[in-house]
Amino acid sequence: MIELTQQIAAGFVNGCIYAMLALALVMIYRATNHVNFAQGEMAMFSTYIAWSLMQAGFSYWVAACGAIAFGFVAGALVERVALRPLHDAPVLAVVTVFVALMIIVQSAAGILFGHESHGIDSPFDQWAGVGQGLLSGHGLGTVAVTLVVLAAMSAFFKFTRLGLAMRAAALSPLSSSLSGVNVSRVLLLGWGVAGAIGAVAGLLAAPAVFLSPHMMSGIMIYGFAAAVVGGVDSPVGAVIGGLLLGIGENLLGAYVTGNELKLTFALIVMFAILVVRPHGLLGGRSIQRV
Amino acid sequence: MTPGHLSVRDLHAAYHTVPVLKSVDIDVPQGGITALLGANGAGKTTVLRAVSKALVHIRGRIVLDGKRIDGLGTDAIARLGVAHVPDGRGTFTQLTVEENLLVGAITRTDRAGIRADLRRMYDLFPKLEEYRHKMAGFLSGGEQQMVAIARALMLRPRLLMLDEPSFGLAPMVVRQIFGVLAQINRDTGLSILIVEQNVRLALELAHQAYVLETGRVILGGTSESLRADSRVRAAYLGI
Amino acid sequence: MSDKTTMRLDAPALPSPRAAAAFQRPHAVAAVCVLLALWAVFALHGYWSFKLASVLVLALAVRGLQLLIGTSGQVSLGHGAFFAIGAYAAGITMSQGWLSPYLAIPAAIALCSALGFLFGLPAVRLAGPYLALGTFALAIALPQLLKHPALEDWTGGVSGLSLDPITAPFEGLALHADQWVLLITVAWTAVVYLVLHRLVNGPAGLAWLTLRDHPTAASAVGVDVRKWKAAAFAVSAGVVGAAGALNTCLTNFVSPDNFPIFLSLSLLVGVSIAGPKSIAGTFVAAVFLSFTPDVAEKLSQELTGVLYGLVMLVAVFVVPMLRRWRRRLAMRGGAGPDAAQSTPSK
Repeated sequence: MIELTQQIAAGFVNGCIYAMLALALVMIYRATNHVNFAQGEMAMFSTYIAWSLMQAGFSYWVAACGAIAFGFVAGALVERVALRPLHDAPVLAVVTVFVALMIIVQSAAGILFGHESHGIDSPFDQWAGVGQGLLSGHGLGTVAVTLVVLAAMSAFFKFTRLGLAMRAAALSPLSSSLSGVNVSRVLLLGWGVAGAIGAVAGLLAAPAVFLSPHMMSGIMIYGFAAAVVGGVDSPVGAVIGGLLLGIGENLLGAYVTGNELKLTFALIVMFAILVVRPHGLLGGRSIQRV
Repeated sequence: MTPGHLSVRDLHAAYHTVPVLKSVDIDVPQGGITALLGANGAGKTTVLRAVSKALVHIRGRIVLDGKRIDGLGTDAIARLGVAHVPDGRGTFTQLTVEENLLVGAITRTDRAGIRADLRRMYDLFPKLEEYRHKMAGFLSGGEQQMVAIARALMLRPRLLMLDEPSFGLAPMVVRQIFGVLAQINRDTGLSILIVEQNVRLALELAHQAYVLETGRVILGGTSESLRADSRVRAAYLGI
Repeated sequence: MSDKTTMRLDAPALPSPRAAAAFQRPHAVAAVCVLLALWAVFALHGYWSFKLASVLVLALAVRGLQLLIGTSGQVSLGHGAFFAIGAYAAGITMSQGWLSPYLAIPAAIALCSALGFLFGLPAVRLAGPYLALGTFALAIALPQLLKHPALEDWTGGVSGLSLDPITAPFEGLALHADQWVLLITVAWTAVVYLVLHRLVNGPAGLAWLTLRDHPTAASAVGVDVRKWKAAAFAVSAGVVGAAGALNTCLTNFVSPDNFPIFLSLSLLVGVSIAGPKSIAGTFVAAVFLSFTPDVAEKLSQELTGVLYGLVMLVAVFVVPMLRRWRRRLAMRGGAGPDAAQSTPSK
């Protein structure tokens, strides 16, 4: 029984990391209707920035802020330089650009920072022992951060003018411009925020899985799966999707299939959801008139 | 924001390399309703798009209340008070009716004013209040047209431009919408530039009109004079 | 997004007299290419034989994905999986002795087509990025599955399968093994390309076009969107499966690590370079894909990834520009006097 709760708890924490990545994906999808395949690599790179800052002697929190700021700027830059020229292009071109970014960023990280793994201490270790030790200090911190980011994002989209402007700009850039929305500025911001959220995801993942250029490769697919399961345009869905996947894969791995097929089953679930409910558990339905 | 005098001089417009408008001159007087008439492909929609700088390359002078706008981008022009209801309406089908209206007001910061205007819209179009939390994509064509017009009005514009608002709508709905437009013009002095295929209705609503043919203005004048013009009667009124 | 389709006016395509003449050319060009390839079979051997065959295999794979994306508008990030299935189908049937190599290839095609159809049916409900995600998942899941101990007896597990090389069946042709395989590859490539050409220019191609551009309208006029989209998947998967099977014949080896997600992404790069319909483009892309890793590795092990990514970006940004210039040149050449007074300033 204890093992079950431990599996669930561990899965919960993993799920939060998936959820954070999914949130970044949702942000971009809501802002631009695109899926950012390079999200994981960008997050990884931002985390390396934090690590570099820490190597240079800065405290964790300064380094973290640096990483998040970097994530914001990097995201905005990608939008401006790589995506702006493609605003009218077919899906293939956009997907290709994302995939290219994915490859380039990962290779660049390897070149700039080397391929060894690095451990990073978590600032939340001091929380260890809270809640009967079910979760590690870092685990608790991960959950807390995830919930805060989720709340902020939901509130942003639902209650703020900028959030509405962003949703409108993604749905119909032309109609939004006609209502006075500066679509390019909105897109830039959306990408910036997504980059920042990605950086947070990387910072949360690093103490657990160790920082290396391949850090996010394994996790990113779960981020996608979480976003898909929850609905690619729903922040709450992203979190639920992440948690379901995190807990589900742990339970499946421990009791049903063994570790080799954990990922495969997760992907089968994702595919099944895609098929049965293409817009995920909480995503909006799209209406198409001829 | 009221004034709303639009002056278009020597407007040339093209899509990519295809020229569509050649040296078009149009005036919308302050507080007036001006109609653009003509057959399909004459370039009427392009005139509106040129004013909004949407999707089209232009050359010429477009002046709104003394300020040149032909060099500005779409959103800047909208912020100056030009509300354009495009053909196809441009409704945000995935947003609720109320969210659609709020998008219209998105550049405004006066919360109380926005709430008051929302109320006014629901009074003008009661159907919309009934559906305020419904996704706009589920509404009928006529209702979506109302959403589009209301959204444009939420901008509190100086100039309202409509592209074929009667398209695909039942006659009763069209009359209702045109009635609302006339009422708004009377009550607030909002200038309106309307592109219409339905010449009869357009001339009833508008004070003056222009007729376009293959990218040029071939006729212009008050509605009465155009109604009496034999060419208009023959070509468009079937008389 | 709806406003794009209602408001955008595309510049009309003016067919120039040169374009009409070009219609007769492809057949001549194709015939010449086949003859050249046959000559190469006898003229090349060893490394270059192998390399040419690799290029053809890649061209086939790219063509398969290009068919899916270009004609029916569905973007797949997981076609490496079908490549792997084709490769393993051929590998297993040959290693187990069930089929001769000459039957293994059609068997692989049949299997991949069937699986492609089964995958395509539910995948139909997915649009754009969702489909890309679903196929991405497929490409990631498959190698894991192939490594699973339960299937080891057939798949050879992590270490894969080694096969005996295929030799020419009769002495008379005086062909080495690698030349014989090249001949098989050339033959299959020619056949598949021909079949696809007939398919795309027939009613199937038309159905695919309609559902690429206006799926809702297509179904309104009676095109069974699900069936045709799944069919596109099936054909595409079959072609890529053929490429995989041929690859097995070529390398005499299959292992799960030969089919990483990178393969699927490379195919995507290939289609970016080739464009949605150009046949010649698939060969250009195949040459790129075949030689770029070699060149990149010589320059720098590290830089392979960066170079690859840069090539993709160039393909996405530069190639459409080139195509636009070409189109503008064609229009200026073939269009009437009105073209002269265009291009107003913004």
